[in-house]
Amino acid sequence: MADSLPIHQYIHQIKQIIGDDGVIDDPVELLSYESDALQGVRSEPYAVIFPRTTEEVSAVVKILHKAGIPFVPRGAGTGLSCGCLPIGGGVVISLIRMNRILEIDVKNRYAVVEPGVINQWITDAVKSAGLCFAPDPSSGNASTIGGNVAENAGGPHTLKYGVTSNHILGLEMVLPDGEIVAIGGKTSETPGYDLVGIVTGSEGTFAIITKIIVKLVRLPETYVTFCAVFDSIDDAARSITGLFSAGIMPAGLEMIDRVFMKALNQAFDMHFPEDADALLIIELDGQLSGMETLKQRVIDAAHTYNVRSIETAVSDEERTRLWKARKLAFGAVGRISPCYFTQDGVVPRTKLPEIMRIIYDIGKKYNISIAMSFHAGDGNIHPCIPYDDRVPGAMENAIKAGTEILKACVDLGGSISGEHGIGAEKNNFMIWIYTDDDLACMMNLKKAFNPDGLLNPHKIFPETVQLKI
Amino acid sequence: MLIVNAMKSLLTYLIEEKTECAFTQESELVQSYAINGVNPDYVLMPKTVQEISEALRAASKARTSIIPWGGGTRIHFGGNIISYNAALDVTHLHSILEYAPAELMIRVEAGAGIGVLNDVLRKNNQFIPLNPPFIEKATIGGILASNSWGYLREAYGTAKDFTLGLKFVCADGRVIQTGGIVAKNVAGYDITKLLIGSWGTLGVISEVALRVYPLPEVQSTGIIQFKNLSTCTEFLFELYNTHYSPSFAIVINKAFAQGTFILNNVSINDVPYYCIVGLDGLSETVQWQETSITNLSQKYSTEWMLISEQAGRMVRAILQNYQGTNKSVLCKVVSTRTGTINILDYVNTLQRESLIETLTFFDNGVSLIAISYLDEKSEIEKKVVLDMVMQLQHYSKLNEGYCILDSVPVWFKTKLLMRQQYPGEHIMKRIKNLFDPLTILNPGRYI
Repeated sequence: MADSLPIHQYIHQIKQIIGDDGVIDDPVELLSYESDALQGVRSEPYAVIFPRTTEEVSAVVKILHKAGIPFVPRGAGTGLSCGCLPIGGGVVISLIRMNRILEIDVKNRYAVVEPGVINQWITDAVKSAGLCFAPDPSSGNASTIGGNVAENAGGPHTLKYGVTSNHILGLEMVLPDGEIVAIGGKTSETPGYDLVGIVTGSEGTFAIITKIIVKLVRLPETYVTFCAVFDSIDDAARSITGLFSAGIMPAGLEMIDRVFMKALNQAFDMHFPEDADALLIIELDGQLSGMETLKQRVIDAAHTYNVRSIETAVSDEERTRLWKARKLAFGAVGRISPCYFTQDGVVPRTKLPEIMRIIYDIGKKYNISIAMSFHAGDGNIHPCIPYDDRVPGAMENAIKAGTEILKACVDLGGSISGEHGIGAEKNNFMIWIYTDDDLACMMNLKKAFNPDGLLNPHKIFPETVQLKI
Repeated sequence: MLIVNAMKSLLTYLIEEKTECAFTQESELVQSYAINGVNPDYVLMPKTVQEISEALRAASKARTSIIPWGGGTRIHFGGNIISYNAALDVTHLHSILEYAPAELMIRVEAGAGIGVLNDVLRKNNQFIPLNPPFIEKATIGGILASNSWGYLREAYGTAKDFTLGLKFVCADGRVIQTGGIVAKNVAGYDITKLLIGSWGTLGVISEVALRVYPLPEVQSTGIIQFKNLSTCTEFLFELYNTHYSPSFAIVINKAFAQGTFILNNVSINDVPYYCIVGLDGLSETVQWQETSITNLSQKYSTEWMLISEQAGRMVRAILQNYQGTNKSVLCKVVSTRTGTINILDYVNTLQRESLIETLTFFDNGVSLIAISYLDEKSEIEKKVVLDMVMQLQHYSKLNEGYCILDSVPVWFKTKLLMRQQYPGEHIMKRIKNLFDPLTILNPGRYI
């Protein structure tokens, strides 16, 4: 540490700025902040700080920086890669109290929000003006926009609308030495290097984000949401590329397998056919004109791949119900097991049949009934690997299975993370997809923002890679 | 003497690398790589990524300055030349490495021309929605390095929105892969976005993987006339509040129309502003859009004039290739939509309005504003133009925007002393220093 005072004295200094009600340092209360949504990985912080303003964030960071104490930003803690855990010790800075929507400009199609704003709140605030914030991660009702920006969150409609980084115009941030910097702006482009583009998705290792200027887009005129049932998972997987080959660009394209369908029926009374191998949710959105033509093309393409049945949602309620089922799929896992582990690999779409066969084979190898509910249109798989943590070795087996699945994704030309981020969960797998030079380049870039490495250390990179100068 | 020593050192190191990278100092060829009247000493012509790496490694050891070249269509952008020892021409790397129509992905070498790529993609009814000026010469690497775009940006975004990954060579010769070939990828920092628009100052792009899109089935172009800017912009706000979803809606002023002869083949009145609307998509959708926009135009006491396919192609080509006049200072002014309207209003108040052409991409708030001059030998006229640009910069800043010099004559660059500071510029400088500590890549012209 730069200074040599005991940590509690720095926490006391922070309380002078934030107030006693802005700091948690009781060991029992801290238990809620020792993990994110990835079960089984824990790291207790020294304290959790709850600033309310950018200036408070800056003041806190300056104290911690001077003291040489590592610190980690946290949103709602819905992440799945230990991104907000203070690995190796540190203070957590929670942005959850900075939760105001500061400005909405309908004519210029942007909003300025604080990082603790929940993703769905943005669309809720602008939908009466016919607008929305397009990125819709499944955690959208709980995750914060600050966390979405840090992880470059995706979601089911990434296929048409892109990921979070395609919808961020500007950021205000606090650098690890406490400096407050604004980058980007309210315009569609800003000159110079794309700092907004590289800070988005930097997993909280470059800066703490304190304000976000988000782009708003027009809500579509209409939706057509299909529920396509397949007897063969191969047919379902092949139909995905079939749709694209037919020139169809769905807004969303998701798959749910037999195991999940059964769990969803039990948990949410969904009435999915439990004797079918897979179900695709295919959504078109856009202008009403031409939608019948596109609808027929989807139906024709699906029949080319032996679809058992393909129906469209006949009402907004039915559409909402279908999407609720998809987004809450992992919430239904409780019907299968007390715990689960998931992965976030990506493969080229044409490799989906192959990766699904590999996943089920890995399941058989470890005697685990792996369930699949994922973003089929992007090739972004989310195998759900259930386990019972009361059974010795079960968690370890689940992690081994997940690791083998991820390696298989890479071997098929894919990547190790489509949207959950690397964090402290997959950092040692970065060497599967990047050379030492690639990793050294990224670590070099980090020095431009976080030269002392105090902000969110032990994330993203394998610890064994040395920086080449 | 210093130049001779630098040349000798580069030669020495190239020989030490045992590289097969071709190079020349033959004067006629070297002169064809002149930038603003400054010739390089050498031209390096690698044919592979390995050769780019060897050339840069040698240049790094020799401390020689390198300016990467693609088609050269945007090579004049940026500040005055500080140092230019060697041109690095990547156009010999132009192969298609991988094309997977069902994956909506194509991976190419950086020297490939966008026109050639689209010819290949068209066979599968696909395309890359990049249409910057001089598309027949522009290379994909150069387009990405300059983040160039055309009117297709209004519907599809820029290269940042559909580049899946790229390979580039650092100043010290290391070859770096960023991103990949899959549709989503958050593994590591998004250095792809950093390289796009970095103007060859952080690395030399050598390979690119792009998402491709289905070709629209039909295309239609129409023109609407407006007697004043306020009616034009009211119409546009309402248009974008509907679901008519044009592919683009571009506003041009009378000076632009007259200067480019864009409306020569169209029977249309002489008015202060025209809005050119592009519709692309399914045949029935485009027909519905045409009818809807006709009705909307009538509400604003004007008329939507659909033009023929041939005339539409010609109009789109002019919009795509616009780079000002042969005697103009071309500025790219970026603001919000409302800020853009204020700026266009302001342009009207500048005294020489008859010599100011404007082309505005309304949805993204970007205007190309060309301030013309008649006599480049007249110091008075040069000062008038300089003052106008500085006023435009100031007014853009007041409207939370930027005025960036796009295509300007050399005399202007030497006269303009200051540019607007970029937000976070001190971080950009740190990044430049980390990626290119010896400042050999395009030194001093951008950051």
